[in-house]
Amino acid sequence: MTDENLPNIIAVDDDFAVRMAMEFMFKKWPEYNLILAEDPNDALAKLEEREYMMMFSDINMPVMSGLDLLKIVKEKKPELPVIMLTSETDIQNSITAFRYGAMDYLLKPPTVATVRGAIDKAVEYLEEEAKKAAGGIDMDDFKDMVENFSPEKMGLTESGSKSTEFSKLVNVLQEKLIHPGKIGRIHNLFLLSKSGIVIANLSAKNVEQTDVDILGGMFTAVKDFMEDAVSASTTSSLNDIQFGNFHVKFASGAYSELAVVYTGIMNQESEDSITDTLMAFEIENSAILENWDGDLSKLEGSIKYLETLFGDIDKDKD
Amino acid sequence: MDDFDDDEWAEMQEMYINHTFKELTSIKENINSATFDSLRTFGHNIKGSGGMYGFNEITEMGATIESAAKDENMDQIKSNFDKLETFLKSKL
Repeated sequence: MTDENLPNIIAVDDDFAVRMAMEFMFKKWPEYNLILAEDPNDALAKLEEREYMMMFSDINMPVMSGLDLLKIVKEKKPELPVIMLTSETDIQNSITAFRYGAMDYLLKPPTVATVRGAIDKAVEYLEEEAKKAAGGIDMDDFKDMVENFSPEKMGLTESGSKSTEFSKLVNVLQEKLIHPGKIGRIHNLFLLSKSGIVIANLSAKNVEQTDVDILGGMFTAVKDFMEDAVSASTTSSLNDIQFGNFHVKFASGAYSELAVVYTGIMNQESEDSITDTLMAFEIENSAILENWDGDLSKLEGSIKYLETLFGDIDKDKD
Repeated sequence: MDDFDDDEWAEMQEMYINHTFKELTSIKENINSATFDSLRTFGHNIKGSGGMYGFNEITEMGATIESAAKDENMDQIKSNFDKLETFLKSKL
């Protein structure tokens, strides 16, 4: 009795002994239906009855040989993997079988190991064909490639702008393909003067409020240090400093800085939003910022820039 | 055969002997109308399957039958059919 949901494999051999051996083998592999055919005509009739994953066929059969069967089957179902069963004296026929499109041949008597190996080979082949047909790529291989890709390892960091471009590419690939669920969770946004005064700050829900003045001074000191020590090897178009799981990304303007504390990976779109926000803030407040005396009341509405930015970056988060 | 456990193997051998005996009986009954090609195929098949099921004697007899059929030597074929029948009966 066959399970209609399982892949079907047909085995054609006029020799009862081979068919019986195959039947016993397939008892070990309940994940497949084995359909037995006693001769090529029986096989052709059974091939019309249902879809098959692959076919095993003897070569030396009376009335119609396995090679003739192979030719007919390949004309009708060119994608069907066919494994020929042959004796040592049929090697020439095995070569002919390859020309007719056989995937492989097994020497008789078939064993559990050789038959299983042939099934696995057919499965692998069909999976590859399915990927090609879908125009897809092997995501595991692609993930490995992207995760292991490193501008530093490839010696691209010395070429300045090229390094930045490659880094952007890698970041985009990683954020889209490797960690799509981890994109930039924002914890805090800080708008700072060049001297480290916090003009405005915004915290995400559930983030503990800290002394923003202390943080502002710390950011400025850290950033000054990092600009000298790290900026040459940064992997971002913005300065990015990591503290454990937290990152601080800085955008620098003519009069101010925008610091974004986040976890995960910041995508390119978010980086662009950070830069755009800072530019908008400085353009709209350029008259004030040019001669700003540290009076926060003159920049009271600055929080709106951070709220907009937060919405842009974290719009899909709580 | 290492591929199967003892119970499976015993069942397979029994089925093989039974099937081969039935096939041999049928061929012997129709020997006068049989073609040498069909006799050669029978010899060829048991040559391959005998050893597969642990019966090297059947493989040897199959090789002889296949060769005799190619030579169209009916006496040798019949003689080996008798030997084969005796062997199979001893295993039934």
